[in-house]
Amino acid sequence: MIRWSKVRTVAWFELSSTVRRLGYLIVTLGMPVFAVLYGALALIPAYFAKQQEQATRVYGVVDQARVLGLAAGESESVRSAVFKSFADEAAARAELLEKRGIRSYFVVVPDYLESGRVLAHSAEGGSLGPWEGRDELNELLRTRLLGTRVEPKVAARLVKPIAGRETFRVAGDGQVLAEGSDAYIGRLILPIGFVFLLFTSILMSGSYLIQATATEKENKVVEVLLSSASADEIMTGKLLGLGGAGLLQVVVWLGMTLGVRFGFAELVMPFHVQVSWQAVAIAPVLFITAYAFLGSLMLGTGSFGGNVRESQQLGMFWAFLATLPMMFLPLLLADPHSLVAHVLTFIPFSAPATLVFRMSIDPAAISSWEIAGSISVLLLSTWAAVRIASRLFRVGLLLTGARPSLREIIRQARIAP
Amino acid sequence: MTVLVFEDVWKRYGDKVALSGVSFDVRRGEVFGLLGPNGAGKTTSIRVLMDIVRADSGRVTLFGEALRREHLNRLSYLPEERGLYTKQKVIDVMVYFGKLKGLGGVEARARARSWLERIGLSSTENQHIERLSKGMSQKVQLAATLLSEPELCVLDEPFSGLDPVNTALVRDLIAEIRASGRTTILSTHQMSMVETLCDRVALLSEGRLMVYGEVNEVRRRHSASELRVGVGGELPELAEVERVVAEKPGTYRLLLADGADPQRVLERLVAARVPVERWEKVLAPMEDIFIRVVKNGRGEA
Repeated sequence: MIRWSKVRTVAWFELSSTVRRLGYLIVTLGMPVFAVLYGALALIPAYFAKQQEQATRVYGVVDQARVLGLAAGESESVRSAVFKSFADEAAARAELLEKRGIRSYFVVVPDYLESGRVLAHSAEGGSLGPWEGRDELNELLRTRLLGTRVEPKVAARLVKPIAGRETFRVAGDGQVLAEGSDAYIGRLILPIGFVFLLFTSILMSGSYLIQATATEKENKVVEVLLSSASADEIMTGKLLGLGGAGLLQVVVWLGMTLGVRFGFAELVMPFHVQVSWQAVAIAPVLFITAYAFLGSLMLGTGSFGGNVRESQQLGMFWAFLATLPMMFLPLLLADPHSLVAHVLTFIPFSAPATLVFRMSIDPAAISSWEIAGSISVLLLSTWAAVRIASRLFRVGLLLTGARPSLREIIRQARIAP
Repeated sequence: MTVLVFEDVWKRYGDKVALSGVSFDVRRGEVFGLLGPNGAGKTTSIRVLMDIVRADSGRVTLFGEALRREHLNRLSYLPEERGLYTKQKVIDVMVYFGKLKGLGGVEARARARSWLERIGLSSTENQHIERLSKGMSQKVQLAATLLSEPELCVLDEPFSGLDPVNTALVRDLIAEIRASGRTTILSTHQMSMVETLCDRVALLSEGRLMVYGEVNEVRRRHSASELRVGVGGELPELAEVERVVAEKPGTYRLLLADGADPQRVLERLVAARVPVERWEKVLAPMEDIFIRVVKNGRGEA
């Protein structure tokens, strides 16, 4: 029987001592600042690329096939590109190399109609790709080829068959609902955010858990703890306290991200986030259970390490299993209710993320028995993991010198108080 | 009244037998010495008592009941290989240990301050443990152990690493615990402290109980082969005596042959008309008993 007063004492001590550490404060408050600075740096080239894209770019064109209908010296604009016609290649070359009045030039060869060949020329040593301006040239060629051969409306559609996009979603009851074209991305935000949050929390908390336990083992504090509280109580206290520290860190990051999202909405998140309320309701339960499941396994195995590094190597193995659904992400995206998705729903390592993923993308297609079954498997696995891990934790913590055989570890774990 | 009973307790780790049918009891209010060389089974006995490891077989009775986790709040343990949270403040660690033993936060803080004053470390209250000297850390840990005023206190090598002044302080603290009617199990290699502080002892070697009983009684039992005599004249030739050591003029230490009766020596001296001013059995020092028992591998328990 767990005595919650002991659990509370351990949890509070672990939480308060971790959040006051300088390293923790630097990572918690410094990481978002670093991310913002990094993002700002990444935006600089994007800004200049956008400016460049909007600036007028002049290209030369030598129309040997006479399909463009442009006389030498005449120009035609397509969006921000301007195509200037030259009588021959020598004139275009001189403009490119001597006057530097054009970025590159295209030669539409005499047999263009039969072959479709266009030759692109750029200056030696230039960093431009020779095919910059290709899309605009395509549009110019299509427009001029169609000319008056077809009706202007048809010509416009041939040049740009899909000029406007509108998206609708047909609900289970047949109702047609309008939604943004980026709604699909919006629906993925919750599950991807959930997996990210879970994985980050587990990594951060797991790291604190293992570090704290290995330090106690090295410091020899562990016997004092075990003479005051049971391994279950200590382990649960640590899971709660250090889990809280990890979660607090993630909440701070999330808060800062949301602040940026509302402050610079269009820049950071230009699409509408849609959430499935069933998924939102179940996510915290899954999150806590998954954390307890993986965290206890990490603690149980990490306690066998002789020092912090060894403990981290032993414990972090489980953290990678938490990323299992990410490995199957393409399959889940393609068909959230495929056989693979069904299987992943019932594997405790992948169940939380898979369940939230499926419920977010298509809540109607996942049955309630599957949700109940998945949660039951996860709860049972968590209970078993905590039980086994607390015994391993006790044996591992008291271990010094040579590591005993697996058989001896199991024997000691079985008779542990 | 007994507070702790070990009855035929066995414990093994793999092929190594750590405790081999160990039985002893500890009485309320006494200082009980748990002695033995390294690897004798002392730490395992303590871990069994503290419910850190479970015995393979046998019975452990605490406060008249089978050992239960609930008893732990009434016990306190200072392990041999000890350490503290080096990055934490002295007061925070003491309060944490106190709370783990069931004290409330306010009470634990008040007691911690009182203990720090008592051991002369009030000024270190808000210092990080890593800034304390080894001796200071040891005292903090001992104070943290005693903070909850346990009914049974287990101290494993409490004197190691302490200077003579602090050794005296710890010795006085143990004496105070006894005076307050509480019980102490003391595990130490300092046999002089055992003679000074302990009421009874259990000496373990290779997991077996070799010697057990009251300190003076144990010393008497192991002292049958040695006499101190003070005589007014020359010491005659004595068949029962193997060796004579002259301590000062007229005072001799007589090492008797195996099986010799000390009473017979007195009779011979009287028969030889030697004035006998002093005749006493020499109590063997605990250190000699320890070495002899451990070396011979033969106990008496």
